[in-house]
Amino acid sequence: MKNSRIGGPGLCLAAGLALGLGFWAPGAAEAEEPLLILGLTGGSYVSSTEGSPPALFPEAQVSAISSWRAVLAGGGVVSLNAASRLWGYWDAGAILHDKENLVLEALLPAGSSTLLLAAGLDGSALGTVEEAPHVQPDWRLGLRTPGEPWRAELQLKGHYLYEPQDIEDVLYQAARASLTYDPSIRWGLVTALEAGWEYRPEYPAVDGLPAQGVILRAEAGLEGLLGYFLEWSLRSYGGLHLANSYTGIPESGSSWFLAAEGDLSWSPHRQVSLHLGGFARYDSWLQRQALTSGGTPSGQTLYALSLGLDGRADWTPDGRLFLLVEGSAARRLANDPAEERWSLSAELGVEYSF
Amino acid sequence: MSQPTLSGAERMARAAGPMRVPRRTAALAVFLLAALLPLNAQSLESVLSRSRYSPEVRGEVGRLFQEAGQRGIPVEMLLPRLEEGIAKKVPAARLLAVLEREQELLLQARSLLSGLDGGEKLVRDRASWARAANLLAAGYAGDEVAELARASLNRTEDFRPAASLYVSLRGWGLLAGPALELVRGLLASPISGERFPGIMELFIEGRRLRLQPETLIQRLLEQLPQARTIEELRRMCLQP
Repeated sequence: MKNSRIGGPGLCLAAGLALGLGFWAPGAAEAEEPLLILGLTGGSYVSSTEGSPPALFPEAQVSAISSWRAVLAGGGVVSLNAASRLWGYWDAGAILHDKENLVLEALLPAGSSTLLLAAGLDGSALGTVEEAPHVQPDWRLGLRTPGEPWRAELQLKGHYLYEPQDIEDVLYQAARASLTYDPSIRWGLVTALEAGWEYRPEYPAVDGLPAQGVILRAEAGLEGLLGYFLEWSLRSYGGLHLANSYTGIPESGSSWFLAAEGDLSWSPHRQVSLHLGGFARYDSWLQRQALTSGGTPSGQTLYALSLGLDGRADWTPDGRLFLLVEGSAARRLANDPAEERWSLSAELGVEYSF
Repeated sequence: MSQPTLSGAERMARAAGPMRVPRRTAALAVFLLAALLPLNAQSLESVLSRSRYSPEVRGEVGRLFQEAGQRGIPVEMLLPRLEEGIAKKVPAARLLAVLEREQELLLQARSLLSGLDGGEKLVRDRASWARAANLLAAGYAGDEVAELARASLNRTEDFRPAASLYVSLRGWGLLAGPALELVRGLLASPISGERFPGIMELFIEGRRLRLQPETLIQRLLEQLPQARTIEELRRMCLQP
């Protein structure tokens, strides 16, 4: 039953997109040389959860990214991107995770605007620290207006998250409108509003109604270029998740969130690149209770503040072989000891672009 | 770039002992200069009066400016360098050497620009003329500067952003040929000069995608004739 449900939207959209593109530009595509990037990283991860003593875990990752693009006559672009990561850490035995992603996307001229068609598939066979094994087909349909300094985009999008080992399946459909004001190359303003509807088929119905919710999200950000080599961005977003059911499952029920992110990317020479990023996010649940260290309800609704910093530097002698150094630090504070944790990680790696 | 030869002013400054220009002669030189170019000389005099240089050095500076004026170099084009020297309190010998070198570079730049069919437009725009001299001072070959200027002849107002982008591309590690070709393509496109720095953003983004810069240049050159904005170039060359 479930399998027939997953395949539906994403695969049909991908097939439709491929057929549509063939119809739109028969034989007009000029394919670019595909890219293939293989990576290998290794390092250590220190973490503490629920107030436990810190533990050190060696970790390693292999990754592959492949992309292919073709420019269509008339200015359209079609691309296929695939990425796969397999990583694991040692904790009295190897614990493996994986993540796969496939996206077929097309940008087609539509008058003076651009039409976006996309379909993809996210998945994980082994699961990750945050996610159970899952597969998630998704789709997007959008229209972008051209020009400077104002640009607008309207997007309809959706996904279906299928988790065979859990009861967290979600169908999500949303509309997103964004407006960009870009008066100069030095700074620009990006704003967006998104409204979405979710349906959770595995949650019990509430008063005869299916378990469903509404997600509203607003974003605003600034970004630009300092000098010629330093990109910067500051972004904040906030939203509200209103659900008609609270089942005691952590992700159920209503909540609101507010977050801020900042990034700096500096590449003073083609051989070198540095990146620094940071974020802060506050989540507050409207029904979910915070628990005491004994596991009993504290009488307060749960809230959590997550903070993080990450840095990455790479160097390449020839534009094909890249040597990487990465580090990150994250801290989550909450009024529930079970939700508190921190982590530090440091990694060295190598990537090769074919 | 070849090392500049020791200039007359520098040789003089390096000579043992104090400046040999009598104070009265120096004062006269400044006065005569003021008489010839009242406004500019007033500016020169006013700038010099803020310095701690000796009257002899001021006289030598006045002589250099007079010589520049006779060779068709407006005083205003040398004044910023003098003001910089005064602000940084550089030794007199170095100041004189720099001013003399600046004069030579401006003459060389003018000669390069004037040698182009229609290049006088760039000479008449002092900022463009000064930018060409700056490129030479930074060690770029005369041929490169001339090629940049030639590519800008139909958009002289964008010569300066084109030159700045070229310097950035070369500084980032691109070879002269591809960098020039890209700047030429941009100048032939409808993209405005003030948006040219956005090209560097595309290279930084391309690097994140592990795209060879030479491959990106090829894509940019293919798409530039159709692109109206940097955003369109990004879409055509890097996205989705």
